[in-house]
Amino acid sequence: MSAAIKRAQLSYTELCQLKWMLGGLLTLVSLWTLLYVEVRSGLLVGITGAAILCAMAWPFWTERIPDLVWKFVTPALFVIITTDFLLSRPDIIPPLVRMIILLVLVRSVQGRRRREDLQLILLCLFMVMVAGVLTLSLTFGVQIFVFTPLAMGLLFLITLTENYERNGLSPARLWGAFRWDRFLSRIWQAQDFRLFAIAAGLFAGVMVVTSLIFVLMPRFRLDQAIPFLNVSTTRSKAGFSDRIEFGDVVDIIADESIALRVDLTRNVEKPDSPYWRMVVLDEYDNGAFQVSASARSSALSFSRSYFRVPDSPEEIGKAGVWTFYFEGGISKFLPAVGLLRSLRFQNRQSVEFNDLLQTVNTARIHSKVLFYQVESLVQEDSLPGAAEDRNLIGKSPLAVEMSRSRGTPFIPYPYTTLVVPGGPRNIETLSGIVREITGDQPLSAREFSARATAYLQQRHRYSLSSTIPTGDSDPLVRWLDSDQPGHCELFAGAFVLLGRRAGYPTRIVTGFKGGAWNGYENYYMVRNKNAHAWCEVFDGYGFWFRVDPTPGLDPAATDGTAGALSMIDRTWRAYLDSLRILWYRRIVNFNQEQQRELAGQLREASVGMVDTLRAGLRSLLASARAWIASLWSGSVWLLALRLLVLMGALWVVVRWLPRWIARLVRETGRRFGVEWSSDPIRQKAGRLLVRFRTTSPSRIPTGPMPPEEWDTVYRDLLTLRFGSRAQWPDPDGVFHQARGLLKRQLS
Amino acid sequence: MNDTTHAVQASTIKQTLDQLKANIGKVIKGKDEVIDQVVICLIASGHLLIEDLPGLGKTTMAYCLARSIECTFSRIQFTSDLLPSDVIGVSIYDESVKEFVFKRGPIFANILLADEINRTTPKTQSALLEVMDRSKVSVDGQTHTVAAPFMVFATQNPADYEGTFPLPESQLDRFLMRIQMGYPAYEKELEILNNGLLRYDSIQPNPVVTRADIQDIQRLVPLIYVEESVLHYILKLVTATRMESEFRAGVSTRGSLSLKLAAQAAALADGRSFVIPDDVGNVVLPVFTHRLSLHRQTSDTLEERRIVQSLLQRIIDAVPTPV
Repeated sequence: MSAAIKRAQLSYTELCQLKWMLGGLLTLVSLWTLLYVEVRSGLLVGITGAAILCAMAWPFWTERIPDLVWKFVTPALFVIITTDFLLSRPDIIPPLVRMIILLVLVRSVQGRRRREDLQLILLCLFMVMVAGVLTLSLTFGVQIFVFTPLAMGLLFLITLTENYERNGLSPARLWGAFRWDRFLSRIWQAQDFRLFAIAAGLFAGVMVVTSLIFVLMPRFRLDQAIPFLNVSTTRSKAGFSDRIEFGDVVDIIADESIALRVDLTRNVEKPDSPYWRMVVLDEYDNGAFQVSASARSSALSFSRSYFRVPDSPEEIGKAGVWTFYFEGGISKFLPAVGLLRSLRFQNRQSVEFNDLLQTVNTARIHSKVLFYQVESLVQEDSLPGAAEDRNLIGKSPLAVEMSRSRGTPFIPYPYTTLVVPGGPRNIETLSGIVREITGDQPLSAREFSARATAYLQQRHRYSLSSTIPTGDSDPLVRWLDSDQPGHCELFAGAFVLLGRRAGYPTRIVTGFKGGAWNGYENYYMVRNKNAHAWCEVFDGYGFWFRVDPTPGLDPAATDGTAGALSMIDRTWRAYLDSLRILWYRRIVNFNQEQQRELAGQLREASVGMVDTLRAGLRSLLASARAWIASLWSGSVWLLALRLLVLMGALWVVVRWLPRWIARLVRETGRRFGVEWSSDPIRQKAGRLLVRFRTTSPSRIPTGPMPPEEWDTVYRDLLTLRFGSRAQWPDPDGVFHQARGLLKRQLS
Repeated sequence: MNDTTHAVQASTIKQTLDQLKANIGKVIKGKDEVIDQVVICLIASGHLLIEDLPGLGKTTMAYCLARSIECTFSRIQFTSDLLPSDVIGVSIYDESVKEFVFKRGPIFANILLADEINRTTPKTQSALLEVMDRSKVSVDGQTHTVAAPFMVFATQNPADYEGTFPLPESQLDRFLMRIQMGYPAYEKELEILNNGLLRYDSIQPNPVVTRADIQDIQRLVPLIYVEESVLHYILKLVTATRMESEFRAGVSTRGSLSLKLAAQAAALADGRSFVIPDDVGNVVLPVFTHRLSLHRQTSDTLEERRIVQSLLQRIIDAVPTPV
């Protein structure tokens, strides 16, 4: 009488094949993580990925590799890896990553048993962790989310096949008669929704536990615990280094990627057109601007997580806190806005704060995103100068002969902001233009700036491609003397020379201008294309005010996402980027303070939820009471009609709802290849039959429950499930009896 | 008759068939499973192909069955020179009545043992197989109906294929089942040695079921209820054989109908008036094995049968059973 349920089961060979495929997928996911790490292994990753894809798509070729090849693989690998380490000295990360890739490649195309499978998981895990620590990107979150179920599935399969291997079994030819369609069809047949449900539950459990551990664990930085992971693998963008030549900033403008995200506290008034200052270059040298040695030497160095600018006014702190998420590989100079009061990093950092130029830079260029908070006050367009800057008052321009061969003579800051290229041609040209601008009248710095800007914009138009005329004089002077179009660097550079020639100390600043305001998560998104150069002019009263001589036809102002007035960005790209900021805010930047904040929020949310629920229930009950009371109002006929309608509705619900649900379940089942019985009674009988079969009749005691009773109920259940309706016994009675028997049996 | 009547009859039929099995089991020792399959085949009005070595009780089985159900039994030893008329019968001129009279051949029996069917020519084989299919014989423009119930036990020796004419697949399809007898267990063989007789015709089992009863049961089998999900199950099994690349061709529609019929007979033999998935699972191997052949030809027939069976078993394991 037993009618055992036989679900499709995969054979040992098929399990091994599935294991192989899962291992391949796991490896591909792990390789994917490496694409975001700049370790110069792109080619190797590509080759390995291709080999693994081939080993998955046409796995039989892996069996055709002669054993002799495998014998030579280990010594060959040893030689290659050792050589790579030696040649890559002193770098550790790139050869380490390449070593893992090579090992993974071998493990992925060689036949694997339990030991090799576990090795593969370990190698893949190592790859993912290294990539995660090096990038900390949102992609890492997605990758680990995909990696976890794959690794769990592979471990599950390893456990399943372990018994076979323990019994000495080994698939003689794993891929002899392999065909994808048959394999997929077998997988489809063997799928078990209960197993999926358990796996999903297990995965959800792992995620919940992981999240809890993440939230509760003490915060520490893995890259600081393991120093070698803290290696820079990238170089700064030339436009944001301490020396820029014409064209460097324009190169960055071509880059669409996001360079900077900025969160503002609520009390910060959102500026419409922020200028994100990064590098202030005071010295002009042969067509290039640079931070002078004297300005550099005055920087204050510190190595801690919090830095308070000495003697900074208290009111700046009240102005608000700006949190910067600065992408890696851009510059060691950190963007900031306005006058700084304090700097706070997530962990200890080696930082230099330049009081003269009001700039901040780290000791090295971070290869991954850097988080820092600044207390800053954004003034309209000016910054208070340092005490040294007061020496500039009343000083004349310094014409200095510049020569590449002899070098530029040393001039200390702040006098570097008065230097113009010497030589009669240069002086003559610059003086001529200044005269044209001022009309030989004494002007204030602001007035001169306005006129000079107007002069430049009138004479030159904006263009990313520009040509500097040839000649013996200074290149900027040559451009000034021509009517060639130019970009922000040329406009700013030319303005600097004009300002200085007119006697106004001027310096050039590079950074970003504008940015888009993300409408989903409310933060600034500044892209590399927002890179910009502008000037700061000393006003003679102790302040440096900003002058942006570049005409409005600036790429930063033309694309609608940035520019003079920041736009609210609600595009899909902004939405995707908002996920990234969530990742930064909630995951990567999660610290003790946020831990406390989250706990508080959770408490508030739970209390609020209970209150809302209670209020909702009360309101529902009150509404129901009012509605029932309203039924009794009016005439008797109306009441009877209402009752009739109510009963009718109830009847429809009772009569049709179960059928509708049953139909839905049946159709859903069919979509997934499961044939459910269409009848609810048959379904119920089927479910009870399953429980009967899993409860062994041999366990039935001879005492209170005679086996005949079990047999009878079992047969009745079979009749309800598979028999014709005419033969059906009373379903409710049978179900009642069956449940009773099962209950007794289990007790 | 309605479904409720079937349910009542089914339990009675089970008792009757149990008696029949027990009666055969007195002679054929330790072969309960084979006896079950023979009875299922009988009540499903099917024909049986037994493929096994000589001397394992094939003839005795057929003879016992015939005796137990009050039926006539005849045996034809197929040889290469056997003619269709030797099987069917022949019209001969009767001097007394001055006309041709049809002399019935051995096929006009209820239970016919076609011993070593593959030893005869395809012409004679097809003559027999035509009768199996239509239960009628046409000779000289006259149609003669064979006895009812009519069941053919055809045998083949799998170990000796020298000088044989293997049955083509289209003709194998006419057999409802193919089974193997197999050697009896040690204890059972000892029992046979103690009590058994060498010649089958010296065994005289008592009839326990009448011929009419068997005919009634046979009429009832197609009426056994098959629920929709079980029909889907049958179809999925059949479809799976068609998708299996190792097979030259999948099971035909006649094969799926045969499986349904055999499952109905199995359900009835178990005293049920409806089919459960286990009924299907229990008969699928004997019903399908001879209907399938491999792409790669093997010289060893037994080896081919074994591979086919293992592939079929894989399909049975793979197809989800309705719950």
